[in-house]
Amino acid sequence: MTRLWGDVITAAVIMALSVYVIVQALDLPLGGGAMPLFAAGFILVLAIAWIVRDVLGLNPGTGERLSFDWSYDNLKPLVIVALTVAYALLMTVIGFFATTALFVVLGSLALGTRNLRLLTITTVALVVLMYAFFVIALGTNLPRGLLI
Amino acid sequence: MNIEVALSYAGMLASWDIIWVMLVGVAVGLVIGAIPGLSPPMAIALMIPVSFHLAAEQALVMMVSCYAAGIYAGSFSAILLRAPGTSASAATAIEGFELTRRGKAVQAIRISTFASVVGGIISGLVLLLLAPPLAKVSLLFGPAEYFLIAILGLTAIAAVSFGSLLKGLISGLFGLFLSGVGIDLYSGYPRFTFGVTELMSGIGIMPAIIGLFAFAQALELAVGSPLTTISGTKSLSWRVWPDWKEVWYLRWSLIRGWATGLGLGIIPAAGASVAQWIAYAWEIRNGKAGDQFGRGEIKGLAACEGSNNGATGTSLIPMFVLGIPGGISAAVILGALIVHGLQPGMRLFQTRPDVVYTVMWGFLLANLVMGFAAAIVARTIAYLTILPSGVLSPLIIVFCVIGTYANSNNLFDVWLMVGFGVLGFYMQRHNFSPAGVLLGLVLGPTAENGLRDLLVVSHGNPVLFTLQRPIALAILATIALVLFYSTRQRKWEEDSMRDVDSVTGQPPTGGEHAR
Repeated sequence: MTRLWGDVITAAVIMALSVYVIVQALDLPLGGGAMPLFAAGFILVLAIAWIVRDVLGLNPGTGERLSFDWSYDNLKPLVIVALTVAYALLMTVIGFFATTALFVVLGSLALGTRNLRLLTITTVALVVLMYAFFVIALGTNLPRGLLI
Repeated sequence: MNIEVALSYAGMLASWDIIWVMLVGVAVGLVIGAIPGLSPPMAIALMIPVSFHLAAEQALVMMVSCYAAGIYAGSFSAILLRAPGTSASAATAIEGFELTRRGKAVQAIRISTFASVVGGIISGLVLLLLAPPLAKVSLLFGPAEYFLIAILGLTAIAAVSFGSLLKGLISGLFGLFLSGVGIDLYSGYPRFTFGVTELMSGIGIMPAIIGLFAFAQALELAVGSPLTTISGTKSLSWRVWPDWKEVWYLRWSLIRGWATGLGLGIIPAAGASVAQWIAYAWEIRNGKAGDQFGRGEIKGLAACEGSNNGATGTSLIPMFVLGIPGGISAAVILGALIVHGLQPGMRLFQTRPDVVYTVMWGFLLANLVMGFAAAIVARTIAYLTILPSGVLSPLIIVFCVIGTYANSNNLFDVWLMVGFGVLGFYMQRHNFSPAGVLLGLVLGPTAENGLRDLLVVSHGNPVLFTLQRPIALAILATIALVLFYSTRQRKWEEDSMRDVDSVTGQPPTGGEHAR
């Protein structure tokens, strides 16, 4: 697939969403739809301009072939997002500090860090400094769970 | 009159409440700015949740101090590693790293410090002198002007974003749309909430700022390879302040750099990243026989570093006066201003002069403090650049999660933050503008109130009504100018880079978006 097709598909999705917002905004009472109409209307026009510009060849590089790299390196952000979701869910169950330590260790290992000394020092320092700053200095209420 | 008012708040700087936050801001800015891949907007975004416990003037002093120090510290890794800490130091990397290779890293850091500190102080003085009189203009604004000024802000931020203007505008308009999610205060009717109770009160600025700037950056670091060590810095001595002879030799390069930064900083569609290239190209065009551009010419470095910090203070002028940020860092600071319940414009100068002038004086002093701080900790900071991204990325995410959660004690805000982070990551990768989304979200309420009032007062004919108002016409003309400028800007920047390339033989290096 070339970048032209990638651009056309993205612009088409944006256009479809804009049309949906416009239709919904027309039903809003007392001028509540004015701003959504304005924003979605202009986005629709700009998305059309984007496609026209690409199709007419005014945007350099649209012929470039898109290749999807499914190697682990490129999937790392997905792994990190999944770990973050687990982190946020578990911090109210296990406790903020224990989950934080676990997240830093697992996250770093998942990203390829193998320097265990650096990892240990960083994790311990982070937990201690966070406790000192957020709990002792600022008195923030952080989630408590089975552990700390 | 303004000067008297401004001077009356200078004494605030003697307060420990201000001094400690300034020191924190400078320290964070120096560290974050020096680490390639981390940017001042990200650092400022992460400071906002912490700043809730502080008074507004303390919070903003901390952020502008971080901004000034972050832009300056970007030169450390640019000079030592040829890896610019911020995009505003990309040009510095060319001459700076060559100087390091020739064993002149200390001289490069010294000149960078002097150019940045003095440039920042001059920029702060211009901010202090120009912003108050310019703020009076905002008193002449009606609904049409407020609506158009929001559109001007979005146009300007789209213009400074890397990638296409078209995608920048789409990003800004998307932010405007998001600002309307939640209960409509005029009609009491929910808009685009899809039955989600937490969305009834609208989308918070805080999860958006942290997600778009910090979480997205952490995801970007997750893809990159771990950083390597700094070589050859162990035996360096760190005399960070230059002597008079060095300054005299570089006087015209410094003046050209500062002037470029001051001028381009105040223009909403420019900023430090553009200023450095223009200043560098100007320096090369003024080069003399014997100058070694591309092989470690200290004049080139002085001009670049003078220009990027020269733009920092002046980029805050349109933000304080009209709510139009001069760059991405200023956009995040604008978000913080709103989060603290303050609205830019003349009313801010009238009702909270304590905040405005303390922040301006704080910015001035922060530039001086960062020079002294750099003299003490420059070497340590340089070694911090060896932190591998594999550890850095999870650390940033921890601060994102705790920052969002501690602010509202609401897990929904964390999900929003993660969503904005994924969106910001995608946008960065595909040349959309995360800053545009944020600004749309921030300026949305102003724009919407302006638009609805305009529809009422114009009796359904807003275009004709707007065309009869001189200030509205002037803003429309400025929008047209910004659009024209942004289409030409890329060409001017490329021309400047080509000049640099033809003389130095080195392709310009990139950096993170950090204007």
